[in-house]
Amino acid sequence: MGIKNYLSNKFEIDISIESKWLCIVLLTFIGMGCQGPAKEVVNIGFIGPLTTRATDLGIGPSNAMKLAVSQYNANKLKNEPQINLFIEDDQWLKENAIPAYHKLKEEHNIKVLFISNTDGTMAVQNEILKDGVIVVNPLNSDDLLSTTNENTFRIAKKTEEANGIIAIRIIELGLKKVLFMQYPNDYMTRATNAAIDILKKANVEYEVVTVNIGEVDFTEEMAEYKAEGFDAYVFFGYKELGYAMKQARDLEITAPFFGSTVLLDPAFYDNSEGAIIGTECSFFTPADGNFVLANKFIEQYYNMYHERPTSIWPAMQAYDAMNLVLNELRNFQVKQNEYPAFSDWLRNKMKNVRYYQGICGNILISENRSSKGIYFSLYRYESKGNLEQVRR
Amino acid sequence: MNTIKSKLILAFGTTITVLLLVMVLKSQYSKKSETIQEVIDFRIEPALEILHEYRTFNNELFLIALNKISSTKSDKITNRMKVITEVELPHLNNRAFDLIATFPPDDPEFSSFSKIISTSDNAIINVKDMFIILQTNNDYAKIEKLNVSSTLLKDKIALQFSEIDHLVSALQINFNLESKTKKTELNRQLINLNKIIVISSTVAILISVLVAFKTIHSIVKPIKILQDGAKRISKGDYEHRVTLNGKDELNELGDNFNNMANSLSRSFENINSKNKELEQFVYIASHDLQEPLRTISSFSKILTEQYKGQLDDTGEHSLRFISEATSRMQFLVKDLMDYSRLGNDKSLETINCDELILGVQTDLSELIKDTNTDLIFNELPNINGYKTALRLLFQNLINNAMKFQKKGVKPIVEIFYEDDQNFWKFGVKDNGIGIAPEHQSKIFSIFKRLHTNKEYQGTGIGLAHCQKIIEMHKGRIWVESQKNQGSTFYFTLAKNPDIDSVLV
Repeated sequence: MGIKNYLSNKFEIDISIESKWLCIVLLTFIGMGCQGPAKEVVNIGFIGPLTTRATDLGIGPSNAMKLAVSQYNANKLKNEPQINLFIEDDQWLKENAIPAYHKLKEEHNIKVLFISNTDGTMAVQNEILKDGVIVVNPLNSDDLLSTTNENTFRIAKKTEEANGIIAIRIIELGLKKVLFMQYPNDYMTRATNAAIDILKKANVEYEVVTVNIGEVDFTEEMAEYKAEGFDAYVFFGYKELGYAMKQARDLEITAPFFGSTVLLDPAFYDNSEGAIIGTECSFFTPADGNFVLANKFIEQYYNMYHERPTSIWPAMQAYDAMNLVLNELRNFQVKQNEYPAFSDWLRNKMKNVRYYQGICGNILISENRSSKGIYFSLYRYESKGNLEQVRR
Repeated sequence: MNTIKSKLILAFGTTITVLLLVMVLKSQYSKKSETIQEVIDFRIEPALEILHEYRTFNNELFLIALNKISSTKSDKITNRMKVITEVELPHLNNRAFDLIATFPPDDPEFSSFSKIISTSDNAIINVKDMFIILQTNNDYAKIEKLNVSSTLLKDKIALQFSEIDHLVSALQINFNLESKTKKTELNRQLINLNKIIVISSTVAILISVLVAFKTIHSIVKPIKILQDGAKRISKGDYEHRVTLNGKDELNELGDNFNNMANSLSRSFENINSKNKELEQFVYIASHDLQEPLRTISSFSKILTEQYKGQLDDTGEHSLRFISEATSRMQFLVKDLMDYSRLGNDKSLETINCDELILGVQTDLSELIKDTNTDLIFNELPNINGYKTALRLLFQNLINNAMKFQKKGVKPIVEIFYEDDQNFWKFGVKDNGIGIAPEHQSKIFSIFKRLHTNKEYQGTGIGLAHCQKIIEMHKGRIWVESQKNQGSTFYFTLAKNPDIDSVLV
């Protein structure tokens, strides 16, 4: 009996030890199975104007993109890649684009670059193609950018369309002689040309004056323009033209003022000392997009930064552009092995976006890698930082 | 093959097979339903949804075009036109294209959808052209531009939208009809599936129950036969044997059972034979012993009477011891004879217990008088039993109650009873010396005495008699007592001692 019990107990002990080993082995396998693919990290860079000039095109968008990335990382699934966003200031100068890009590439090995300056976008073309980086311009989509290489996307308003509104408005008001004061960069040149093309068809007389970068005193020129009897002034430039507005009104020029999409830069108002009020420009607000989603975005932006973006449309476009890219990057882990390179994979995915419900509206990426679905309207500068849609 | 294991495997196998058949049947019918549901989900519903959106966007775009010709100013209208023509309708065309890619090329809906897509593309171009023509308010002032726009709207855009609307309406009718037909078909399939499930499940359950019943029956029946056989043999029917058909383990058990019964029967016959021999021996021995005992007794009496005064004290003492020993031996032999005779009288009769006790009282009257005993009994029942044996039972118990008495204490003996459903329970209570608990289990053994003959005379056979008599009446006897506190002897008698049952 004793021996039997002993053997029985011994048997039990042996089984127990084997069971433990079996459990350990099984748990190891299960653990390995659950581990899944290695955690992927995708670094994204943004180059935009955070200081010096056109900061409304840099600070708001960078904050909006940070918001989108933080929301993505907070809600992503375990097998979806982690996204990091790194930001560089180009002071709205194309010369700074290449150094900023190199810094982002070398220090963070970015795979996607967001850049808002049109000239800057053109400047990095060779570099990004060589490095296999996908570029997204979340601010402008003009004809020049349509000549960019296959790694470049534009998820933004169409420059020519947005500024053509000004020309149509001039015609609508019956104005016959128009002066364009234009900042010497590609975007403003294209804005001017878009308006001129329309004005020409309506036989409206016009003159284009290119201003010097950093110029603040336009008094002399303004006196000459007044003498020439222009009945409309179009300020297609940045904050420096605020001085021109002020000086024009000081010279008792009463003709209506028109501007581009960047009037809400606070420095513009400050430099104009209020002369900017009444200026009409093309602009985009939540009312022009998906009102519900846009208001939710503004609320989330405010909760994160305790302020609203100085100019709403650059932030809205940047938020949509970043979310559209993130929406594709979610699947990066699963699909990466099917493509020879990350840029090929992401390019192909983005080119196939036929319908994306963003805060700016329903967006489609067309064959030439530019978006459709963001359309600007005519607004009037009512008070500092406030625009109101022009009712016609 | 006919083992219990095989039967169980067969039963479970049959049940599982039937269930599998039910599942296969259900699966076949489900497939038909799934196919119909797939047509609804992936063809009809998406088509109706796309058609509804075509109708909505085309109507809106046509209204926008109409407004454009009558009103010059609205960014909202222009932007909305762009949204519809650049995003919504191209996306809708893509969806429609993807959908019809799944249609057979000869499907009439395929060509209708293709026509809608191409017409929609053309309408988009024309609307955009119209917006280009009427871009500024100056354009409205130019009659030729207005005329071109009006012509474009009237002759192309309106016709295109009308054609789209017509095609959409026709397709909506077709798809709604198809949806209705498919849903009716699906409904019918589901009803049929339901019926199939109910019928096949019922049949499966019935087959399973039948198989289970047959299997259980084939296992339980032999077990029951074995159980009945065991009961009969336990009641004394040693000649009973079980008959089982088949070749499974239970039939093997039945054969073993019969072998065991044969062995048991032989052993019992052997024991009976030995018992009878033993009883015969006891009877003959006790009977034959009486004769020499009487001779010894007679001669010891003659010697005592004829040689009175001639013998010295030692001789007289010796003669007296011989006489007393002979007398005790005669009692012993007589009791042994009585014990061996018990059970020979096998005639049951109805006995009036009061009369029976009165008879015993008369027999023991001298002892009762000598011991001044109070014998108490009242209205005892009429019972069914062996009269001589029961008389001996009461006599022994009353005699013991009077005999084992404390000195100087008047004996009180009380007889009482209780009526139970199947037996009578009697009690004989005394106020005597009592029995210590450790001795209570021994007193019913033959020749067992707790006291010396000097203290209390007796042979040690009385209670063994009582035990044997109670067993004849299918009852039980026991004592409840404490030393010096009297004793109560309880015994039970079966109301019908013929029935083979043990009563408590």
